[in-house]
Amino acid sequence: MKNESISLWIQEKLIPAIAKFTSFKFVKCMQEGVVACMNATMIGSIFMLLMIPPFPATATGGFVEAWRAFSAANAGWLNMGYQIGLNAAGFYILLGMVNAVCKHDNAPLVNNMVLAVFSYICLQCSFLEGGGLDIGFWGAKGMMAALIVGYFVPQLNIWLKKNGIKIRMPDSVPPFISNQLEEMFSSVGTVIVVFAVKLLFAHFGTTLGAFVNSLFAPLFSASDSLTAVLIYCILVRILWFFGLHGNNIAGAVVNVVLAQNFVANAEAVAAGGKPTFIFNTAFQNWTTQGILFIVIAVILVAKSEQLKAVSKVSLAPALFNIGEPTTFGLPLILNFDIFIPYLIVFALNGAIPYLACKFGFMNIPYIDVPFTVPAFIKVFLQTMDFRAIIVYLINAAACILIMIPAIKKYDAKLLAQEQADANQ
Amino acid sequence: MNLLIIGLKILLILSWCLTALDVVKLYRSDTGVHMKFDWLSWLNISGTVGFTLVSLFAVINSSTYVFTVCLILVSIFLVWFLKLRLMIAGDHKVLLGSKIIDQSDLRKVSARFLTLYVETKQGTIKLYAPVTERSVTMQLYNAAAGKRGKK
Repeated sequence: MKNESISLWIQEKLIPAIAKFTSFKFVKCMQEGVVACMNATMIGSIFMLLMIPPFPATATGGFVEAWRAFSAANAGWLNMGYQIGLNAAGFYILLGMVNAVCKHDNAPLVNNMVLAVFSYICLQCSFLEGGGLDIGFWGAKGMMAALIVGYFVPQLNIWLKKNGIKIRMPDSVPPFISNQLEEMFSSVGTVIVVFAVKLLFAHFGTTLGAFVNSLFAPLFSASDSLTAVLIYCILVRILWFFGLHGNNIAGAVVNVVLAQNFVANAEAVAAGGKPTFIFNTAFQNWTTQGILFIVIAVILVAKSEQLKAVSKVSLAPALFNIGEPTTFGLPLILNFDIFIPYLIVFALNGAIPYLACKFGFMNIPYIDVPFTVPAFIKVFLQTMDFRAIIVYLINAAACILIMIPAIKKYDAKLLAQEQADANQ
Repeated sequence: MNLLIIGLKILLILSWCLTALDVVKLYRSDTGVHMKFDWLSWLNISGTVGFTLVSLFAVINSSTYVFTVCLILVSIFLVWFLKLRLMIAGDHKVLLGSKIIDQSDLRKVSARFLTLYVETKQGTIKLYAPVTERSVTMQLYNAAAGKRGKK
């Protein structure tokens, strides 16, 4: 009865509220915008990895020396690839955001893109003494500003085009010319507003990016905490429990913060330092590994035909971090028999690696690897640290041990059901 | 050794050219060909592009011969691995790895262990973790089930 009332409350109140939130235009565009930088960060990560060999300064050996020699011989262009790929992530987010807004509003892309890039450079960058452009704000530091500029500049331009001055051209004027002229007035209006904002920030001795970052600083510092990791893990799993794609829904908000943390780590490593933000895009992969542990627990104890069949189907996908066969087959959705241990397992998936990083038992993950790479390989690649495999195995053992009693209980229920069906 | 590295770099470029040639062949032989890939496939392509760029730009230096050769070999392997996993569809034909198949020749499509098994008139084609987009896979299923023209 209690389960039913919780289920009813979630279906009637929580799910519509979440659906409403994720359907906001800004949230939708933000999701697309953040995805836009992923390819560039992947390429940039490869350049960075080769530029900075992931070994301690004291490490020696043929392979280590060869990597160092390669890095030294190619340092110049490896750094260029890193700068263009990973350290310009904010700029790519800007492009993705503008594209998403234009697609959503069915607005012309090129003019809005040009305006947004112009505004971003104007609001974010300054000229160096030698004449170059300081692009220090194009990376992690500029991501939040990229989201704001990428959203509001096209919005302003579209609004001015609809409500501003219009010139009606004769029909004989080709459409591409009349369109350009129509765009011109709204563009000039947008540029004036952008300059006004620039002057306003300059008056206070800051830039848009620096101001936005100072506003969001508490959020970023709070995001890199055990509490934030636990809230994220549990929220995602509760959403999955009710059949909603938890990673996508929670990711709509969290991915921006994680991407910024990820790029900030990369910048720190490239500068010869160590990654500092534990909860980042690469770490996020750790929080989804519980499915395989659940499948292993099922394989170890299940006697019912249903669970045996599910484990056979689910094992291979789970090895490659694909959870749907288990989620829908076991099922994990609306299965109150295993709900609590299921939540605990995923909370541990976040807590154990987080604490391991915090107390220096393993390196902080700082390299992005596609999520389908088997977990025991992936955890090493992300951290370049063999100790990550040990942490992974400890995590696995803890999760399997927690799941076994719940699976046993659920299996006994299914077995009794199967026997009752057979006797009928 | 210098010549070996230059040769390997040329081989790497050739590998990409051969991959592109497969796509061009499909473009020329069919209509409605779109280079659509889902997010994960894009990451795979980006990773391969990243390794290729690093390999191509790598300086030829006596202190880094072996490392550079290994890096280029890894890149060539990745490009071929990608080439054999490409799955792009047009209105009537589909590129499965390096083979262009008429959709009317498709018999059955099934998936197991991250591998897509496509039964055709000519035999079964296996694609490990195809680099594609969900709608292309659905198009293949529909074509195999006899529902043509749906995209």
